[in-house]
Amino acid sequence: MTLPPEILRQSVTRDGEKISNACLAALSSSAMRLLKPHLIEMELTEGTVLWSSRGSTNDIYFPASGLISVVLAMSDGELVETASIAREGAVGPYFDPDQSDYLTTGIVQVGGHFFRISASSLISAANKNRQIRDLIGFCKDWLLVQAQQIAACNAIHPADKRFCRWLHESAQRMETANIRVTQELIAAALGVRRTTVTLIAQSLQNNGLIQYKRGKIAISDMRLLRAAACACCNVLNRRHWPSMRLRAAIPP
Amino acid sequence: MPLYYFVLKDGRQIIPDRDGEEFADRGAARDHAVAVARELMRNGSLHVHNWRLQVCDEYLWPCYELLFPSIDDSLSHLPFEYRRSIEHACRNTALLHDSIADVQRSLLQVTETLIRADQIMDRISFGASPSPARSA
Repeated sequence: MTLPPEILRQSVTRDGEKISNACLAALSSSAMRLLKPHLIEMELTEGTVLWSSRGSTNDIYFPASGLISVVLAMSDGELVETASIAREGAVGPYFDPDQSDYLTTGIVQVGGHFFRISASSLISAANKNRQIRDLIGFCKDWLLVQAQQIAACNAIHPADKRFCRWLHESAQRMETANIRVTQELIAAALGVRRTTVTLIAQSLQNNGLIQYKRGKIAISDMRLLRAAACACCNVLNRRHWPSMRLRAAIPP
Repeated sequence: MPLYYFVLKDGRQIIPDRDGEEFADRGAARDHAVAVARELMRNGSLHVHNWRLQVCDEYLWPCYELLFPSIDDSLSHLPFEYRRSIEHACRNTALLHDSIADVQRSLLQVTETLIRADQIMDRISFGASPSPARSA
């Protein structure tokens, strides 16, 4: 599929959504020329499994408007999120194309537009271009930072504060106050039951922080939501985003 | 399978789960309530000790009420009589919250009745006294 250049390079708003990936938008024309022939644009719906420990092709996804959740499946079948990626980064089972023993599962948490490239094509382009090498490094760092912070967060913070943190971060990274996500998927991300998420969401709605309908959460007051979230919001901020680091590393 | 609803009472507000969930029987619904209460309590502050989770059947009839301290593992190191006292105090606090909520509801109803009575009285007195337009 031929990609219109504005999709890749600019933040286009469609129905109030940003539909470009900020990492791809930050790359220079010479770097984009290497990637563009291999990028495939696709629309994915929530709940789509992109990769799992049962195996799949090693592809890297650049979200343009949705959100991908990286989860670990426990032996009892429960899922716990270790990281999530929106338009600020890219994610796949491994950036190394030779790796095939996947530990994690990638699930589309919020449906939208995505760009896909095979890990081998990405690595091949990275071997020719420093910016793409940086992009991969920053994306790996971002996954590691999130995994470390979320591990601590899950251990010591209560479910309501983690819910607020998840919602605040997702809204920041997708640059929207309206998130199309089911409570079942949030429950899976936080490693709690759906009833727990519903009761917390109802309480936040009663207090004027959010409004929720089936499959959609609208944030009414971002400032209050941030205040209700755990302190992990202060750590997992823009300065760790691959897109921000890439912009800082690439001379104008 | 029968549908069960879960209602959280935190002392200030009543928070219902409007979707409900299907379970084989009341025992399974109760086990789910215990798991949900543990998730809400985990790493939480002390104020959750006044919280309760009510399990209602598909007709919204309460069939079970779980008091959070009764399943709080952080109290398990205490002697049995201490734990009972805490549970007893929390149950009484919960009953007090229910009574306060009842009184607030009654006051609201009285206020609404008085407002309606005032409106009726206004209409009656307005109808009784001849308006300037009619007298003219």
